[in-house]
Amino acid sequence: MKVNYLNIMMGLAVAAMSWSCSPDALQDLTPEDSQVFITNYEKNTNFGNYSTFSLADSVFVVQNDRSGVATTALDFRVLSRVAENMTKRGYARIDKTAKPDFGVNVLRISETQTGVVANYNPWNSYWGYGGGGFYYPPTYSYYQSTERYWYVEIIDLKNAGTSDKATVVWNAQIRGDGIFDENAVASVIDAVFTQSTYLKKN
Amino acid sequence: MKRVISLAIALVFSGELFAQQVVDRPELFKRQSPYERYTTYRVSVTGGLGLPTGTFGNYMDNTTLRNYNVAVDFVFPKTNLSAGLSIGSQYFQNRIGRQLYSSDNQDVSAVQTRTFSAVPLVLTGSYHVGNVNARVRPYVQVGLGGAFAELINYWGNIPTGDNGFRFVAQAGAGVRVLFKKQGKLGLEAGATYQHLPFESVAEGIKDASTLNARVGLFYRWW
Repeated sequence: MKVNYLNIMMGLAVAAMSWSCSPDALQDLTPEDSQVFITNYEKNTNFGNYSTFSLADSVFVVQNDRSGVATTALDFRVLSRVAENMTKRGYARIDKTAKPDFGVNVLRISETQTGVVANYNPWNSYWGYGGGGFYYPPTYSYYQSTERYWYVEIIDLKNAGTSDKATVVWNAQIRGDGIFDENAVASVIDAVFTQSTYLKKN
Repeated sequence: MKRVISLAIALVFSGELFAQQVVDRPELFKRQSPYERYTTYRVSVTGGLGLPTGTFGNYMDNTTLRNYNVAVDFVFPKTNLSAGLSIGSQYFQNRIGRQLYSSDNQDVSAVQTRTFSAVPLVLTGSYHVGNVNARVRPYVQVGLGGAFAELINYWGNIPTGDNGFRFVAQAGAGVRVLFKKQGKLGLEAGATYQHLPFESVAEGIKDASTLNARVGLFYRWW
């Protein structure tokens, strides 16, 4: 029996290469592990010198270039959790008419990206042209990916004076999977405060 | 009667013809094998362990088994040299549990999935020890080329990173063992150091150099 080793080896090589080309690095990532907590702060701010804050009674929703407010049960849960954490750090919640030191905003941001991708016809050979001299043009498909995430910011109203411009002294992004689950919101809000140890009243 | 004579003559001549062939035949076996006479071809398919080294070794804790190589060579019999082209595929991945990464005025808490893939295309030159038909034939090899390299560090599932074509230099040694004397198919085993500069300030690496140990099969023909 004549075995064509060359064909077998080429076949093995192609199989090995195609298997190794596109491994999905994130297929075993749990929703909890996919969560990313990003906090930024203004370095010159002494957070101990502030004592009061006000918090809006609704969540701002920003969707690409549109915006609005939302007051779902989930939004209230998030707002109260933010307030709880601020109170725990020694800040007193007061009405926004009572000249608070901090203004706290909670936003739900949803960013949508649209792209186009060419699907090359599998009837063509790897190098682009079919064996019979025919060329099948690629088809195009559109993809859309939307990322929704929580954004919390603290604004310095104490030093804003009468000007319109207030500095954002702290902000947090909560990104990843499962962050809009009813049971998860408390822990994801806690996480951004936990990693901001400097955020407390003296 | 005439017919009988001519038949006899024919027989005599044909007998002589056969006799000549028998005499000639051993001469065939005195000729050198084609592998010794001509430039021949060799293809090898190998796979095995990839080990990150240098700054890349600090960044990427895990070794990999997703490390393949296909090489095609011209084998020159007189000089013990061969020259060829090799294409590889290497993929490294490392998951780091949740950590807080603090910089100037930013704290990020995330699980990182660090990945690095490279497809090196390299022109190689090899020097072999021993005759081209030796059952066991050690070799040393150097290679120069380029690689498409891509580093992606996923923070959760947010990708950051860099990719592009990079210079590649390789140096290695190994051995090829023919399964049969004068055979076509054999076992190949070797180790290669692959130098691949890949600087990323954000990830704290200067290169993505690796040590590769591979085994596989080779096939030669003419």
